[in-house]
Amino acid sequence: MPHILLDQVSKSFKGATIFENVNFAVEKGKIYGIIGPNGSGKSVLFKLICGFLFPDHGRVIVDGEELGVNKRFPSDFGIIIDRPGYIAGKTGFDNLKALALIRNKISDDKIKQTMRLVGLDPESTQKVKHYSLGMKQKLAIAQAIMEDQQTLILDEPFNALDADSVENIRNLLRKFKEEGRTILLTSHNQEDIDVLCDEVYRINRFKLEKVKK
Amino acid sequence: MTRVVNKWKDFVDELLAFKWILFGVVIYIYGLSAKEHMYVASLQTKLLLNKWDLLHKFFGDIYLILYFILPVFLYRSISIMMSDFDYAVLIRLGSYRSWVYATLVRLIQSASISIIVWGAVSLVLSIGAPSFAGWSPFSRLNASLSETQILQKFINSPILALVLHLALFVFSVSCIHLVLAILYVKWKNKGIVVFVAVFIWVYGVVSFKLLSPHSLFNLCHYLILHSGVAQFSNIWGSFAMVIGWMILLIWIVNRLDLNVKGYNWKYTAFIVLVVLALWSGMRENVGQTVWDQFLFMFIGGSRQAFYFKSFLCYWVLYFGVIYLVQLHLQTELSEMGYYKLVRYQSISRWFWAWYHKIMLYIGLYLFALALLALFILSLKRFSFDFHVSIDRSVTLLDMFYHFFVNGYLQVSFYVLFVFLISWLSKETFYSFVGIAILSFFMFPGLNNRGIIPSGLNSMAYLLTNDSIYRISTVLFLWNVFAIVFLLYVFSKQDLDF
Ligand SMILES: Nc1ncnc2c1ncn2[C@@H]1O[C@H](COP(=O)(O)OP(=O)(O)OP(=O)(O)O)[C@@H](O)[C@H]1O
Ligand SMILES: [Mg+2]
Repeated sequence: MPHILLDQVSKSFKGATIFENVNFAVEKGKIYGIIGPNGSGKSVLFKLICGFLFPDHGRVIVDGEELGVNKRFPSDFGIIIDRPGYIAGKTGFDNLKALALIRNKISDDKIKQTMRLVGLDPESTQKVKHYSLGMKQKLAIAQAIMEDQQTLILDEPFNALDADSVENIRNLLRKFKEEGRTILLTSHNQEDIDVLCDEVYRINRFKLEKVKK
Repeated sequence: MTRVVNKWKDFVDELLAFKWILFGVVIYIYGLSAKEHMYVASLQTKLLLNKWDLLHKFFGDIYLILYFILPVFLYRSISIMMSDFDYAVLIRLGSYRSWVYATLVRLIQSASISIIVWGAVSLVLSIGAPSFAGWSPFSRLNASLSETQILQKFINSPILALVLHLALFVFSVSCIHLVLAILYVKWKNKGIVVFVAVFIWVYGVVSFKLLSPHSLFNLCHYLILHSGVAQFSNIWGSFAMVIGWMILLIWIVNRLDLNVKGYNWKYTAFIVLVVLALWSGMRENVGQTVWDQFLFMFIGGSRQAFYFKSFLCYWVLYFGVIYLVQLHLQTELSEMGYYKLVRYQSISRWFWAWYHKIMLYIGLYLFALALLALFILSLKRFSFDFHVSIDRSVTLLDMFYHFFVNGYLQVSFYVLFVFLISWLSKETFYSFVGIAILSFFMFPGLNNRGIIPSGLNSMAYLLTNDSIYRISTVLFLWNVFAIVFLLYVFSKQDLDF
C-alpha cells in the first residue's frame, strides 16, 4: 500500500484547471521532487496532500485513510507550505516552543538542538520580526523537522538560503532519508532536485509526469 | 514541576498585563457610578442593600456588558483565531475541529482571567457595603430596580445566582466564538468574520434598545441571567436556548472536516438573506397594491418612522451589497492593485476604471432588486393597480425616482466611503467599522436634518414631507465631495502596498 495516494484527483479554481485526473503514489523512504513552472500547481498539490484543500473529484489517501472522511490532516507530517505565520514579537525559540506545545511531545532541549541543526542560535534574544529572510526560512525548516516527523512536505525549502546552509540542509535531508523518512519537495533549482531526489515528477498539462533520471 | 511553575508564571504575567489593568479600570470607573445609583435606589426605597446587590450589579449590568464586555470578547475571539490559523498549527492539531476547540479553550482562558479581574474590581468597589448575608432586604422588594430584585424571586442563593449568571455568559460567548470560528474555517476570510462580529454587537445593542423587552430576539436574554429570567419567568429558559444553540454549533463543528462538495456559499447566503429581507418587508394587512408593498419592502427608516425590522432589512439589502463590493475591492487591491497601477500610471485613472465597473453593477443590482421584489409580490394576491394606496400624495413616478436615482446615489456614496476608508487604513476591518458607524445614523434622532448620507434612500422618506429632490441634491453633493476628497488623497499619498 502506498504511503500517499492520489486517486483520479481533479482540482480547479473558478474555472482554471490545475489538475485533471491525477494519479500519484508515494512510497515510504524516498525523496520525491516536484517541478513545474510558476503557477503550475506545486503548492496546490502539497495542500491537497495535507488536506488543506479538497479535490473537486477523486480522493487523497494517506496510510489507507481518505482525507475528509474520518481524518482531515494527516498525522506526523512536517510541512513548509507558505511561510508560517510567526508571532513577530517573540524569539525564534519561543515561536517553536508555541508550536511544540500543541502536541507537547518534545523537550526544550530538542527544540534547541533542532535550531542548531538548521543553523540558528537558540539562545538569541532576537525577535522574529527582525529575522532575515533566510533565518525565517531556517525557522520554517526547524518547525517541520523538530518533532521527528516521518513525512516531510517541503515547498521550496531552499529558498533564500546561502550556499553553506543549502549544503547543510541537503545533508540533513539525506540523513532523514536513510532513517526511512519520506520527503516531498519542490525547488526551482535543478541541482537540488538532481542531487537529492530519487524520483522526479513534472506538472505538465494538468498531470504529474514522471521524469527519467 | 518547572513546567507547572512556568504555567503559573505565564498566567500571572498575563493577569498583570497592561490590557487587563485597563480592563479593570474601565469596570472600576463604570462601577463607581453604578454603585452610586444603587445607593440612591436603596435610600429612596428605605431598604438596606448588601454586597450581593452590588456584585450582581457589577457583573450583570446590561450597559456594561453590551457596550464594553461584549466588544472586548468579540475582539479577543477574533484575535485568537487570527493568530492561531496557520498551516504549521493546523497540521499539528490534525483537524479543523480541534482547531476550533483549541481556540475556544484559549478564549475561555481569557474569559477566566477577565472574570477574575472583573470580580476583584467588583469586590474592591463593594468595600464598605453591608456584608454578604443572603438576599438583602432591598433585593426582596417586588420591583425591578436592580438585578437582585429580579433574581431573588427565582433563585434561593445569591451566590448560586452569580455562578449561574457567569456560566450563562461564558456559554453565550462560547457560542458566539463557535459561530465566528466556523465562518472563518469555511471561508478563510477575515472580513466576513469581522463583519459578523460587528453585526452581532450592533444586533445586541439594537435588539436591546429597540425591540420590546419581551422579544425572544433580544440578545441580552442570553447573555445576562436577570434579563433572561425576566423574559422566561424561570432560570432555565435562557440556558435551554443557549445550550440548544451550542448543540447545533457543535454538530456543525464536527462536520467541518468532511469533504462535502460545496458551492459558493457567500453569494447563496446573500441571495437567501435578500429574499428573506424582501419577504419580511411585506405588510399584508396594510396597503392593497403591489406598489404599496414595494414601498414597504424598501422602507428603511426616516427621522419620523423607525422600525427595527425595517432597519435590519435595509441593512441586508444595501449594506450587504456593499460588503460584496468590499470583497471585490479587497482582492483587487491586494492581488492586482499594484501591478495594474503601474500600467495605468496614475491612481485616479485606475480608480475610474474600477469605479466605472462598480457604477454599472450598482445599477444592475437595483434593477435586480426591483425585479426580485416584484416577483415575490406576484406570488401573493396584491392588486396591480398603478397607484400607491396608503398615501395618495405619492406618485409611482416619485417612487421609482426615489428608488432608482436616490438609491443609486446613496449606494454609490457607500461604495466611495468604503473605498476611502480601506484606502486610507489599508485594513478591511476599518471599513466595516465605518459602515457600522454610518448605519447608526439611521437611528431615530441622529439625522434630523437629513443631511447625513445614511439610509436617505429609504422609502420612508416618501411618506414624510421631505422633498426627494432635496435628498438627491444632498446625496449628489456627498458623492462629489467624496470623489474630490479621494482625488485629493490620491495626489497626496505614496504608492505603498
Ligand atoms: N486558494 C486559491 N484560490 C484560487 N486560485 C488558487 C488558489 N491557490 C492557488 N491558486 C491558483 O492555482 C495555480 C497554482 O498555484 P500554485 O501556488 O500551486 O503554483 P506553484 O506551482 O506553487 O507556483 P510557484 O512556483 O510560483 O510556487 C495558480 O494559478 C494560483 O493562482
Ligand atoms: Mg508554490
